[in-house]
Amino acid sequence: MGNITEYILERLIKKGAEADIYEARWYGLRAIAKIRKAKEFRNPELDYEIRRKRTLREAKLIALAKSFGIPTPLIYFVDPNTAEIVMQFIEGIRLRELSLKEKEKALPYYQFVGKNIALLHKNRIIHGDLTTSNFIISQGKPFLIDFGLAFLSDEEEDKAVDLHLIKQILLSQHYDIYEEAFNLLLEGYRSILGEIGSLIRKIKEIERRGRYARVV
Amino acid sequence: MLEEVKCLGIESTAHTFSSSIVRLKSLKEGEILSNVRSIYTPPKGSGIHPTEASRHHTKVAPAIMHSSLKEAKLTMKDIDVIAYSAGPGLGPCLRVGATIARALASYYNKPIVPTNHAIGHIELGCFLTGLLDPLVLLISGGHTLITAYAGKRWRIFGETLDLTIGQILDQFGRELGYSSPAGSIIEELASNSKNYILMPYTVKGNDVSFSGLLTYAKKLLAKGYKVEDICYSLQETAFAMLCETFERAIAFCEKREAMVVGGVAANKRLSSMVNSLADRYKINLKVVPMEYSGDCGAQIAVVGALAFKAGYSVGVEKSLVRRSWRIDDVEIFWRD
Ligand SMILES: Nc1ncnc2c1ncn2[C@@H]1O[C@H](COP(=O)(O)OP(=O)(O)O)[C@@H](O)[C@H]1O
Ligand SMILES: [Mg+2]
Repeated sequence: MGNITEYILERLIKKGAEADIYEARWYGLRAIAKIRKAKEFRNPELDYEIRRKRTLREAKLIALAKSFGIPTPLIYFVDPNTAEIVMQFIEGIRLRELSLKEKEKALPYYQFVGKNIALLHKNRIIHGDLTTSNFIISQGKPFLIDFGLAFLSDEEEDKAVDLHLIKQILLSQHYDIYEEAFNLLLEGYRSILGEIGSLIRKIKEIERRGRYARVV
Repeated sequence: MLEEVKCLGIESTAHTFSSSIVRLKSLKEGEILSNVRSIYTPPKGSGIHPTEASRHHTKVAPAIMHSSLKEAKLTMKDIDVIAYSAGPGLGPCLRVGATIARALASYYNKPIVPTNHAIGHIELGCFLTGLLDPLVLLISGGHTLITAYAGKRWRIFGETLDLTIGQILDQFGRELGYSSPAGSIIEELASNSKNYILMPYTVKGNDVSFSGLLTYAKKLLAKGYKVEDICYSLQETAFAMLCETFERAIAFCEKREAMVVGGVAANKRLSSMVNSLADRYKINLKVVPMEYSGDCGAQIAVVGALAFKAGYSVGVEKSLVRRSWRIDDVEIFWRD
């Protein structure tokens, strides 16, 4: 498999939510190959469409985010038809694990995370999957990965959903640091985008919509 | 504290009126002694009307209560505690169950446990499948969410941002002229097609949004597409969205067990799709048995027994109803 393209797969390191993640070599550089395998449970036509589209988006928007100064991996190679991306290997610990194991160390990064989210939003990028497993702390910075659900938008609703997603994960997986972490994150966000009262109200509105649903 | 609790559970949040008696030592040890129900069906092409449903519940209640005791071979004297579904649900329906619970409790001098209906689906699922710490996909008319237990709460990892899966199936069913719940009719229609039409697929992190999908399905119907093809495509798309978010949450939270509960868990296509996830993550995944996927008294009785065993119950004056009651607002006394 590794010899059709210019990279060599070394070993499977992770089964992510969407993709299989391999450690790889790209012209001698340590790299990550992210391969979106077909999902049995999806209709093949729908499945192919989703994998192709997300691979393209991920490669494009990771690079775009980087151009705005947000730490992301370098993209080395993309093939939308086989749904594979080869990118820079980011050496470090995920914010998820750091938040679970060393809370005190993790907390300061949330301000940085908030700043980066605001930088994305300021430049019309919605990440679409903001969660603590998609930030890798490396060289003292939170690198943002996994842009498969990302898209471009100016809508307040889309920004609010983005923030709701990270809030939801803090409330569920990291409930013991939720308050502090989310406050720091918002502080960081505000430092780039200023007053965000109406965005916060939008988040609350979004959270009300689904949870009180009832058969009528 | 009693070693074993006999709990009478009354369910009346929406379509279903049901009464059940369980005998429980813990989530690992116990027995459902009876589980009797009657389901209100609205007129063709319409949704549930709360007052009509509550009339149905009032009418069937005496017979249902009676046969649940009879099947369990018990009398009210033998019951340790009475539980009822206090919410979330439709006001008039909830009040029927609460009123009966209060009346029985004051007449027979029994303690009461007001129970959260969604927690009932989950804990009954744990009891039946033997999974004690699963990541849960709860899919029904009232709920569509992904949850796991930690720190005295069932915490929400993912949810719908607008409609529930049950709502889109029911609402589309109504467009076709069927009364709700319409899930099983749509399942049957879908099974007659293999012709997939690409539909809006909206996943945001671990969340889903169904409103665009429903609108699109209705549009295709108006344009004259074959009903079977639309049902098939609607199901394939909606279920794929649910499976994907469930898979995302499985990858994220790294649990070893996963469980699917709620009325829509009865759908065979959904359950085969979800089972294909289990292999990839080597996770022990179970779908709640069909007999107990829909609303039933057993889900209330199990929670009632667990709560009572953990020392929780209230008097008649505190047995209220809550039409909106989020699962992460409920303190789970019976788990560590
Ligand atoms: N560039 C990278 N450098 C180091 N680790 C990575 C990189 N990309 C992904 N990973 C690891 O693989 C996991 C899954 O990758 P991700 O892109 O988030 O895929 P998925 O969409 O399947 O979640 C990440 O949480 C991380 O642990
Ligand atoms: Mg990821």
